[in-house]
Amino acid sequence: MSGGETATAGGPERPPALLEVTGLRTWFDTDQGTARAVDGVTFDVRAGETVGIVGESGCGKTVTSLSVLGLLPTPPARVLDGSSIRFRGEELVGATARRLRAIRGNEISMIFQEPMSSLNPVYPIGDQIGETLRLHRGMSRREARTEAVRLLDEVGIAGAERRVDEYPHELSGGMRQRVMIAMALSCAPDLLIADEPTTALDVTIQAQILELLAALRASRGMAVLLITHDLGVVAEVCDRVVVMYAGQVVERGTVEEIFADPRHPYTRGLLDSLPSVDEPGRRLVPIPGTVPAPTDWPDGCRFRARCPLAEERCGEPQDLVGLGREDRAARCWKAPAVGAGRERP
Amino acid sequence: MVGDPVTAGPRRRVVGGRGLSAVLPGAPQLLAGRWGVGAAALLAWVGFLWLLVARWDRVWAGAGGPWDERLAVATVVLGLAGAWVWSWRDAGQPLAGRAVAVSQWDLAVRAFSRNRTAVAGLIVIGGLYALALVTPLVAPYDPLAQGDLMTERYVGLSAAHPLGTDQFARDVLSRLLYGARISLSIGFVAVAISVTIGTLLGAVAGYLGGLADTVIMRFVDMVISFPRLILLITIIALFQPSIFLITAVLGLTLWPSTARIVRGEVLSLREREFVQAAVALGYSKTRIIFKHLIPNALAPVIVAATLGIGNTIVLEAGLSFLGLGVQPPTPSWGTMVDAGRGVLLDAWWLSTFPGLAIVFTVLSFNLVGDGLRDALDPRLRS
Amino acid sequence: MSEAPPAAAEPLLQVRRLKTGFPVRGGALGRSGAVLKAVDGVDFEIRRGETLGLVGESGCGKSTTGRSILRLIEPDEGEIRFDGMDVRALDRKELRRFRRRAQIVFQDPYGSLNPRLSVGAMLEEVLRVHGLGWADRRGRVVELLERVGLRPEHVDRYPHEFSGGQRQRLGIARALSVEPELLVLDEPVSALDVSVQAQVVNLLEDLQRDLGLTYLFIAHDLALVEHVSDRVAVMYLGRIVENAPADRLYRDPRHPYTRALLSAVPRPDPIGRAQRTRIVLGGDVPSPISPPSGCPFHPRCPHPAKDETCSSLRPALEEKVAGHVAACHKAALGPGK
Repeated sequence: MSGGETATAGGPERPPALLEVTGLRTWFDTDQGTARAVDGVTFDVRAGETVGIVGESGCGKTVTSLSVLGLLPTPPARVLDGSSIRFRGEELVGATARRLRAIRGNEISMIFQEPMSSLNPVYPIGDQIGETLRLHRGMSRREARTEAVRLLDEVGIAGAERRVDEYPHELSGGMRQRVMIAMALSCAPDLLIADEPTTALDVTIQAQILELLAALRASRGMAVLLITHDLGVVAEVCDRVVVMYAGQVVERGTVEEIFADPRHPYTRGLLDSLPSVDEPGRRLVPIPGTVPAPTDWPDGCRFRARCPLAEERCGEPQDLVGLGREDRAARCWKAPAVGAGRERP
Repeated sequence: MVGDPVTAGPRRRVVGGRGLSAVLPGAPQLLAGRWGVGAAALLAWVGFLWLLVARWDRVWAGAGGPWDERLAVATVVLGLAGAWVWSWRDAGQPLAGRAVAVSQWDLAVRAFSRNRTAVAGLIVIGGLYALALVTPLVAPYDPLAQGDLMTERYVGLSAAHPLGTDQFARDVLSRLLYGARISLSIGFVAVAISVTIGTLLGAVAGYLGGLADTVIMRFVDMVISFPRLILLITIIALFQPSIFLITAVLGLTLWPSTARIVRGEVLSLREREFVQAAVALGYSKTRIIFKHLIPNALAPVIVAATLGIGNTIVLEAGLSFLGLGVQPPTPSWGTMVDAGRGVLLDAWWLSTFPGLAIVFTVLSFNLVGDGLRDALDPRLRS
Repeated sequence: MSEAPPAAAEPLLQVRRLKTGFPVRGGALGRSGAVLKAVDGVDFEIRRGETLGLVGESGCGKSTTGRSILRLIEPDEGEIRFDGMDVRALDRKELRRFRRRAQIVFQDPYGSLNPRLSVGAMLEEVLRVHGLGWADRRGRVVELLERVGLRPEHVDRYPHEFSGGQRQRLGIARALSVEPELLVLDEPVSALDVSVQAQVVNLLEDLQRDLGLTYLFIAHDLALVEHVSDRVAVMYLGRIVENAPADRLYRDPRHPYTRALLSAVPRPDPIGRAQRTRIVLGGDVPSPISPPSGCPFHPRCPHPAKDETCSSLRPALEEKVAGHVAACHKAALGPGK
């Protein structure tokens, strides 16, 4: 019972949300007990903006994104009653499999961390892009091929005319991720969910892909939901940020607010434990301990055991506390009082 | 699992468990819902106790008799003691909230014991081997002794001969029990030979690579490409077939598949960083192979061996059926099926019971093998 | 590096023209004769008690370099001197002794521990093999665990019962058990979450300070490498393209690849992101089986003065400023702005 929300998303002056996730709970039944992987998550994505969900492994960020598309096998997963995922006002929780298929890849697309295993090794990449086009947009084989070449060109693959007939193993990791993005773009989605899209890539290739995503977003007006563990990537590309810990949203705000004025001790801890090119020699401040197991979340504030500011009152369940501006919130009763600005040595 | 104490699974403790276990080992475990170990302990206790009481005279005589009878007596005594002591100690253990270290094997045992059919198969196999060990004490007749050929041939199921008699008026039940010893030991020993050879050669080939690998694997290819049945028939035609020869031939022709499995595992393990670390720590090749590679390559071998015992029993039965295996009058399940072949309609019990014995044994081995495959598969656990 | 401060100690490790290649399997019948030059002439040295960071993208040969130094992979050419001793000339017995003095910590916290051995068994085995601590082996194991921030009761646990960060601590404890002088840290924290990364980095720093260890820190994360290193060497396609004191390299990178690499690092600074200019390199890293002629970086190089020389002549590591070498024809000499 710790998923209560006091900060309501969506004020009167904001544009309508494209994706609205409210009180999402996705639990897994395992041998070790019930894993409350996602346990009361609320956020929204508006048209054309990039929202980052950031957190460490096991925080529930990937399960959140898979829940949106209904991609989790049930059982063991189950989305609990009271969860709501609205896409352009349409409720996706409990939607028919047929309806979800129509939305998937058409209005919402997804790209994954490992581009090699996301592509089928036995077909040329052109065929794989073409398949989506023919399925969702009813194109003929010839039209699909022309469109595939155009898409490969759009994602910056040189010599697209020739590359369209190559197989996934002939491409480098960065190229494969571009192909995945081309496939995701094939139906001109309004929302692209990118789950750790650059984690498997080298830093110079990562820069290319991030640049590409930013360019596509500008040219197509497409909203992006970026799932990542890398705060640097978030700072580079996101407008708004959702910080997750132990299955819950612990802080929400604009990217400037999160980095310049983090209010949740966990967000602060993450920032302090990051080595920075700009501040060499500063001793890192790690967060002590480890993330608890999802079958065994503590009562009260789930970060309490690792928190430098923990007090007795933290044993009570914590709700998201609104912090002034419409969407700004942190799941910590001390958040309003914590001084503005992060001390930098 | 983030390094905090791993606690033993929720076991219900039964009030007065210890007292109950003193009288009826296995019962407290059975009541606590751990039916697999409970049933095994209870069956062992009741079975051996019955044997001790009902066949007291033979047990007494057997203790000073030939080696197989002494072995049977020892089995009874150790089985009784083992079941009782295990149950007593297990029932007395403090169970709740105990912090224990759990090895990979412990995890596999836990996963296995959740698989009911596999546990049932294991109990059947355990029962069969126990039965084979105590056969001299339970078999009603001498398996080779012929009865009155005029009146006792092809006698159907009766009180004197529960499974009837054969064409030489021998008791089918006794022959079936003695046959179990032959069939089960051939399967077990042949697979033990092949697993030992296969594991060693496979690990050496996989780890050393280069010339050793080439030589060993070409040899494997050669042995595999030789039709096994023809090889067996030739060897057995050249030499006098005996149980030892059959076991040796089966064992020496089955190892290449194990060698291939182990080599494949070792090839991937060799690149794992813990093996690299062992090299960096200056460990010898022998130590790395025996202590770090083989234990980690063993899971698929155990599965293959379990299924292999079943297959070998069938193979031996087939050979004996063709007259190439165990020679009459020594009973084996294969020869017994063969013996009843001609009179299937008149004396159906001759082939049917050994046939059923083969089916159930092999089925049990396959169930256990499948259970082990699931339990040992690391991909099924996080 | 002739201008190294004279007061400094003799280098503990010197590597000269190190080359390690792998035969490439190809064609229908095994070897095609081609060689992947993973390490193609690498020079560097590390002074006792210091940390050299070795950075580069995947496939640049940094890991192979680390393993070649310990002879986990046999190098083909070049010279490795450890405390004056020629490592490549060691026989089996000497190699075993050398491995007590130089150890390695691996990246993968899941693959680097034998899953069948409990922590105690693993550490005791090392001690037994090397005949160490025979009087009180258990005591020594507990001491090692405490040294890396684990608890004595962890001794009977198995690897799968630990979290990623704890496993990495175990890997460090195993390396420390033989009391080495040099630790090759091969991406020791890149598989860990940020908050745990910081724990392990701090542990490594403490160990270096307390035990006087020398580190070769291999990683792809530039911010992290700058944080831990005294000097940093940047590798590209099997070669070192730049080697300088950490602060110099980050403040005044001379090689165009280092510059691109530095500018590509995402920074946790959303307010400054509009002002920053990012050099985005085109294309991918070429295959080390057939590296480009001349300067291996020339096909991707954004340097405005790039010319014929770059594509025909392989640049040597050249001292641009005292103690700061770079392999680039066009990089300016002398102190920067």
